[in-house]
Amino acid sequence: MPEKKGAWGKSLYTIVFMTFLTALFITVLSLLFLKTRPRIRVNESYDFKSAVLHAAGEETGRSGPEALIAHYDSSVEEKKLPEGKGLYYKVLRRDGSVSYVFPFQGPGLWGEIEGVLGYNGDLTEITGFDILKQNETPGLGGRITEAWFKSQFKGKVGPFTALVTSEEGRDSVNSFQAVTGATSTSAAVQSILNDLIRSSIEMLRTVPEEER
Amino acid sequence: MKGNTKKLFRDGLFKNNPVFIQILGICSTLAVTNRVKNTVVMVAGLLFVVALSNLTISLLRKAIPSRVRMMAEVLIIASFVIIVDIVLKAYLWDISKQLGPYVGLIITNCIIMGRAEAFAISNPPWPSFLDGIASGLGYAYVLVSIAIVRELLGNGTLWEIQILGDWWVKWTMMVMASGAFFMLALFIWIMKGVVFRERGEA
Repeated sequence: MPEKKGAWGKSLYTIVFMTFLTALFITVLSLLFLKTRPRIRVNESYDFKSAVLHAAGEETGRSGPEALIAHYDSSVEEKKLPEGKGLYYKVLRRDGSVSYVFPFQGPGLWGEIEGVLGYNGDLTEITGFDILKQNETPGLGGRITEAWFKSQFKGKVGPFTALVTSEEGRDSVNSFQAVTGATSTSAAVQSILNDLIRSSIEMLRTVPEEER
Repeated sequence: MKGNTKKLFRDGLFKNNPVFIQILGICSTLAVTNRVKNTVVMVAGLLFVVALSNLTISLLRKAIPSRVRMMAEVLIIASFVIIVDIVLKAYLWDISKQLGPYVGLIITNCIIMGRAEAFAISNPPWPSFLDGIASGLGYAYVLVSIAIVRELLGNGTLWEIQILGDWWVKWTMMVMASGAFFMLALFIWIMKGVVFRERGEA
């Protein structure tokens, strides 16, 4: 530390030094943030758009972010449920069929779980399921984002009356396979999905198909 | 200089290893080692932060007022952690999502503050940088070793690739926190009770 004269000089130096150091690091971080912000925004929007298309049953694996976002923009329409019950997305799929994707959120073990659930055009079969945000235990509850967990909902109808612990039971229409060691997270997913199915999806079923 | 470098690495990797000798950084050792992929990203992040924060603190050591040195150190460490977080969000989005709050928690990793206080604040920049690398590598190989065993036994996979077939009954406890405690204890026992004892360093 440079030589200083007295207590006042020391204090002044400390304040000036800390102010300078803080300003320096804030400037560097701000510049880095501004430089990467477009990329982070694309990642965030890619995440959501990819999840909606995936839940609608569309193949999303091979297309790059730009192609996927372009496909989303041309095929997805945001719509409102009656009585202000929230949003859903009408997806015109590449094969010409229609899917409806419903966003959901609810309490997990540690924090909010957010995701999307897709149904086919006549709302009789799930086309896909994806998780957008979760703060569950990494390696345990966090495994709800893995493909083996997400893929098991396709073809089922819901609501889900049971959780199963073995792979044999995962094909049953009214249940899904829980994550081993993360029963609370799996039960939270079950409860969130059942709430969504009993409210939003039931409500859309009452709307005539041409008005959906 | 060459001898000093050797000593720095010997200390960081073995004799004064941050994890199994100093018992620092245990929170992340327990939390992220159930997946090799997450562990590798975590240790890369820590290596970057500990090396560069050591370097920066050492460069500024003569200018930092001693009574606010810990504030300055935390500011520098936190800035490098935020850089790691931003870079992960921009370029490794999937891993950033999986690691979630653990990246931010690198700030509280005692190894970084420990090396800043014990070494960087009183040593020149180049040895401080090497000390950071040595401590980071010491942390890295312990965590990766534990993660390999935990992921393999707990999930039958390595780097999310199936290694053990369907015949393998997954040891669920291994991916839970209790499995990490057992693995860490075993690691410490093997290193201190077997390896170091054989070399007469216990």
